[in-house]
Amino acid sequence: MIFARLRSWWRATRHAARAESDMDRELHAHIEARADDLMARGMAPEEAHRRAEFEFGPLTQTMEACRDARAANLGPSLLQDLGFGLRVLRKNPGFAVLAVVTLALGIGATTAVFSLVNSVLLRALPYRNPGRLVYLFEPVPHITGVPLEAWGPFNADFYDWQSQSRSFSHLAVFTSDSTNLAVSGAAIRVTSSRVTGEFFQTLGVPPELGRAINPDDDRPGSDNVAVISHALWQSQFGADPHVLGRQVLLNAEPGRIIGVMPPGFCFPHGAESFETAEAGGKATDVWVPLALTPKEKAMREEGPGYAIGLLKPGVAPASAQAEIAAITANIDKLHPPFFQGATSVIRPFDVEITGGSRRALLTFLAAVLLVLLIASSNVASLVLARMHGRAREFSLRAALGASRGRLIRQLSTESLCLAGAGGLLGVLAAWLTIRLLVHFHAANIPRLDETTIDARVLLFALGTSLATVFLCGLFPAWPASRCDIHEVMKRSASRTVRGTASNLHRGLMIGQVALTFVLLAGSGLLIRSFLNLQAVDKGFRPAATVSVDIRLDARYNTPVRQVAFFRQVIDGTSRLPGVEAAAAANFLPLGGGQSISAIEVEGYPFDDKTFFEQRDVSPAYFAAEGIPIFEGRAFTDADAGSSQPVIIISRSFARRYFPGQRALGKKIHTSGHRVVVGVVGDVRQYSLETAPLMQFYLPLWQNGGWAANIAARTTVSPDRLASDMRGLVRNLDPAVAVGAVRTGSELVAAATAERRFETFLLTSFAGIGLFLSLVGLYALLTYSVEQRTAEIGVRMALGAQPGSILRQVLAQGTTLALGGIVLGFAGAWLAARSIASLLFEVKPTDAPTFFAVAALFCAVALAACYFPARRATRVDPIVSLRAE
Amino acid sequence: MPDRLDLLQGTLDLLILKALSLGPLHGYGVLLRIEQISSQRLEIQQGSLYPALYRLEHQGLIASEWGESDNKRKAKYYRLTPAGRRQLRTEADKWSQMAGLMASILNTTPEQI
Repeated sequence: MIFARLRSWWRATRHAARAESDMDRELHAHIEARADDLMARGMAPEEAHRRAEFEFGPLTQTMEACRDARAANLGPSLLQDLGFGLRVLRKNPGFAVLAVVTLALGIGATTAVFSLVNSVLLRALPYRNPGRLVYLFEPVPHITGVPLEAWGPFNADFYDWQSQSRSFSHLAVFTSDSTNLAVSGAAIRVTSSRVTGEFFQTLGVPPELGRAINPDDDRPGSDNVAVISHALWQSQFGADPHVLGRQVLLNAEPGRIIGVMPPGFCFPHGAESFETAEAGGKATDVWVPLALTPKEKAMREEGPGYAIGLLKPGVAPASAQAEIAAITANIDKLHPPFFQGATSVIRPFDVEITGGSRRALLTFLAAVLLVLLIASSNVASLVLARMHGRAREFSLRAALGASRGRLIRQLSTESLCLAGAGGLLGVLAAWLTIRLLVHFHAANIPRLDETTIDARVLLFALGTSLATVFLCGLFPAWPASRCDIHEVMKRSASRTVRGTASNLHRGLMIGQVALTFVLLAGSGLLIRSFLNLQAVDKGFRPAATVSVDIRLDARYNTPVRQVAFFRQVIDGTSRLPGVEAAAAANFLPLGGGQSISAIEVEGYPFDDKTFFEQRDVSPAYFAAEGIPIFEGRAFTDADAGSSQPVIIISRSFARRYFPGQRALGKKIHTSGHRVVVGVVGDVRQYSLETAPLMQFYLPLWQNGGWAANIAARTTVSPDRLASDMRGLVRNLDPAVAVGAVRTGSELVAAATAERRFETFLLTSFAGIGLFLSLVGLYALLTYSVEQRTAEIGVRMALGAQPGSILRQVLAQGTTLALGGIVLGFAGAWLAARSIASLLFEVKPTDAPTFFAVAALFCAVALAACYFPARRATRVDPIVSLRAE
Repeated sequence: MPDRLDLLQGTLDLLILKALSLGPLHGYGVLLRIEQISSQRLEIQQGSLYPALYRLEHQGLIASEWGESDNKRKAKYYRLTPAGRRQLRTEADKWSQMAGLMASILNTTPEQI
């Protein structure tokens, strides 16, 4: 049956001409035969023919029905519809361009945001069994203020998990470090990870060349082996196929390259882990064995790494967590008292990696769907407006025998042309937008840079386009196709006052304004949040500072050697041209990294629940970072080695513990009995959005450290200073590399990047929405003025003043806008709660924002209404009365 | 002239199949045959015959070829295909079941309940 149909359709289509003439002959043969019969009964030939034709009924309709019956119409009439649709659109380019641009904006924005969601939330992570991969954390709940992601397991606990648990196929620990890598000549800084033996088995990604690190490599004293990334292989080894076995220096120690990972493998990557986010969000380039000594493996107060695991097939994260929690509870008493009460938390990879951005992305998706709705309703009202203009065409076609289905098909084909063009342009716009977004964005949403347009995105764009066809084509087509011939004929015959825009049209307009208002209010709240954030007192002056980080290797294994090296760097940097102050610190404000501790303040009982931020800094630190000193002094080069241990505290610290007194000279116990020598301003160290804990500073020259950030306040360009500093460090020790150069402004920009991105995105959507609904308002009024030209002409002929005509049209527009604003106000009031978590120091129902947005909207809506209204006042009564 | 009945919805296809089961016919012949076997009691709008014929052919229930009519005119002759024959059987069965059912329902008297 199916074949018969296909064959019949194929014949009808393929041999269309023959089928047509056959049909013609057959039907005429019928009429002839009938006439013959009638003549045989004695009817006159002419009369017989007339009678036969009459009995047969309308020939063309029968033929049309026959074509339909064979489905012969499907191809040709679609083509005909398409051709006609295109002609109609070409005859009215203003409408077509407006509709296509509107759709392109809507579809483009939606597709762009969907492709972000697709790559960040939907696309599988590039590991063998992403669904079974989990992170394992071991938080100690009574130590507050440390994010879950910072709680890697204690070494011995991890090995207990590994030997006792049954839920995992593999478990591994990795660190996030940076390493000075010397291939030949001076060292460069690369992001690295020390990993346990099952790390690569856990992730299940085989190397592109050579082999990965295996459990045999993960032993102290075995060869120093290293696996490198595809990117490093290309940049440092020129993609040399004989790279395996090459000797390199890793932190000044020899190492041998045994494998190259495939492109795209760079775990731990950027924001995926707490620690690499600090290291600047770089992809990992070098993996080396962790190779803990038995003594290190037994530590229950140290845990330099983060744990990941591959669940056995069929094991749920919750049951694995229960098992690990039980093991942890058993060994908890072995922890030092401070860390007792440790728990364990298991998080699936996708939740951990992209969970934080899920809410923001879904908010964007919701917002952009509003834009799409606005665009669709805009096009729908454009189509509606035209439909009124074409009422006579449709009634004529209906009178000539076009069925309702046929009319709807014609209209849908026209919308399909529009949506097709809009969709194509939209995908193009989305592609451009994605490039912009990826470029603009500063690595805070993980995997964002992987965003591309793939099959799923294209499918989405197609679906969106089809949905808009339905929304803006079929929906208005339905009432139009029901056009009442008598009604239209009657109307066009007389010159009475015509209805203005239909209720449907007005309803669409009000809805559109309301949706736009919701978007505007949302972006208004985000803009206020962003301004609030910009105005936050950071506590330091980031402008004109440049920082680099330096990491020392095992040759610098005493505080004395470390301090000696860093002092040389600081002294050298201070003498560089244009440098006003240079200092070293373990962590810089907004540079990432956090170290908190509980300390004992003399006169107060020790409180292990109150935590302080700790910094180790060199003397000029406060000058270099522009942190104000309120009391006492900064550190000096004399605060070093075995001199009197000193401490500098933040102002909130001083106010809390020494209210109304001089803090100077007070005693604080932390790594020795220290005397307060200064009080400085509070600094937003870790995030601009949260007030800092109480802070204290220790002299770096007394404590030393493996790694330090060198910060300099300078008057020369950052690049010049950076290259000077590189030269300086290379002269001191060529095996030590200078890490990423960052200016203070860049650090601030990175700290506000996510918010800026969100604000930018939502504001763009609101802008598009505003533009679209203003165009919609303009188009509706223009159309309505056009429809009422005759009426206005009559009224002017009867003496109406231009002022009253103007007021009337303006009133029509502003009524719609106000209706929409009231509706939108209510909607925004409710919807704003859902973005409460994206706001900063502004309530979701911030009245000033809402009223400002309403006022702005009123003003621009009035402008959009003014031009059509002006046109109405210029109507010439004589011309308008002749116009029909 | 006997009372003429309008065609029940959906019965034209079945009538055409029945008419053609008695031998190949051209379109006008189908019309005459139906009128003949219904003793002129069914009126078929002549034009409506062809869409039905085309639909049946499209469904593969009948096939057509050009031939010559009794009075030497070229005419397109339709005949039943095996699928059409099967279709006629099942449709006819359904129809008579339905007719029997309707008749028994409509002939029900109060006493029978």
